[in-house]
Amino acid sequence: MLLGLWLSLSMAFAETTSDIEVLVKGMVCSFCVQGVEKKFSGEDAVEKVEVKLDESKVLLWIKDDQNLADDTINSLIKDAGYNVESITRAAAPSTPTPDTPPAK
Amino acid sequence: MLLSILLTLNQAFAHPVTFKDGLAVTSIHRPKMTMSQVNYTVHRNVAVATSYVRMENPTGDLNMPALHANILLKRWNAIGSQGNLYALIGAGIDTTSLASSQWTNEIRGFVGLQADYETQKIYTAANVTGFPSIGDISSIPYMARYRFGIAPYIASYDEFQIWVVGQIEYMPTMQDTPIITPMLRYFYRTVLWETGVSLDGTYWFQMMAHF
Repeated sequence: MLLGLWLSLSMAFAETTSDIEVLVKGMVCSFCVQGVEKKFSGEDAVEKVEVKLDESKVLLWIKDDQNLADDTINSLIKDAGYNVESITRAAAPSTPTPDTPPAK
Repeated sequence: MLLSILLTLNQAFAHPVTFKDGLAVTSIHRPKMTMSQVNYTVHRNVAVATSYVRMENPTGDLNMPALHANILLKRWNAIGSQGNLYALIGAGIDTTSLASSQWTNEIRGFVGLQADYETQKIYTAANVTGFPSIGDISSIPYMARYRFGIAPYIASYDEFQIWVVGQIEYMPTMQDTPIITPMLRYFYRTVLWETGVSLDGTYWFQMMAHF
């Protein structure tokens, strides 16, 4: 029973926790939210995007077997008109991202 | 007439540049005036815009289409706040009397500077706009405007937001005294509208949407 409870909680946690959390400078209104959401929604790797305006955060859920490089995130945020303060990932990628060449 | 033109055009400066590939539509209505603007942000710092102004004036109607570029000169981004400095440059033509007067006198430049600062609780903006005439550059009509707004509460993206805004305008070439207008600004998702009545009794309605 405990194992079942643990599995249920783990699955629920996995569904509600984003893969990437971006702290963004400059977002202040609904127009800002729209611009950011529009930019990330156009990315193939992004499964879901959510903007928490009161926390100045952009939460990203990434599709399985895909990744979104920091450079891409920075570029999309800049195109929306803002700046990235920090990027926090739920788990470090085990393989190089598409935008990052493998280490020699 | 010029006073009304300046008032009308200046209202459209609220969001000169949005986000790359963003489209913004603004429309302002006053008792004897309609003004619409569409701008498209081609680069994160530059938008191209077209405006159209229709007015009924005692000295004759005005129908003025204009083309202009809106340039974001500098943006200061911080957590929970944003400051901007914009420049606007372009030209417009009063098509109403083109057939009966000198062409050069109907072409007017469209130049302006705007600075603003905004958080989720306060909003303030100031700008100066001038409309130099190609036919007469000896005197350039201009206006200065300052507005300040407060949000009584902070709404999320899906909630209805209200702002209380006060505005002071000064146009020395047209009248000596400033025009003071209290207004309410409503915000829901990507649609904004404002309703207000100036102390001298002139209403206005503005709508803005981003796509």
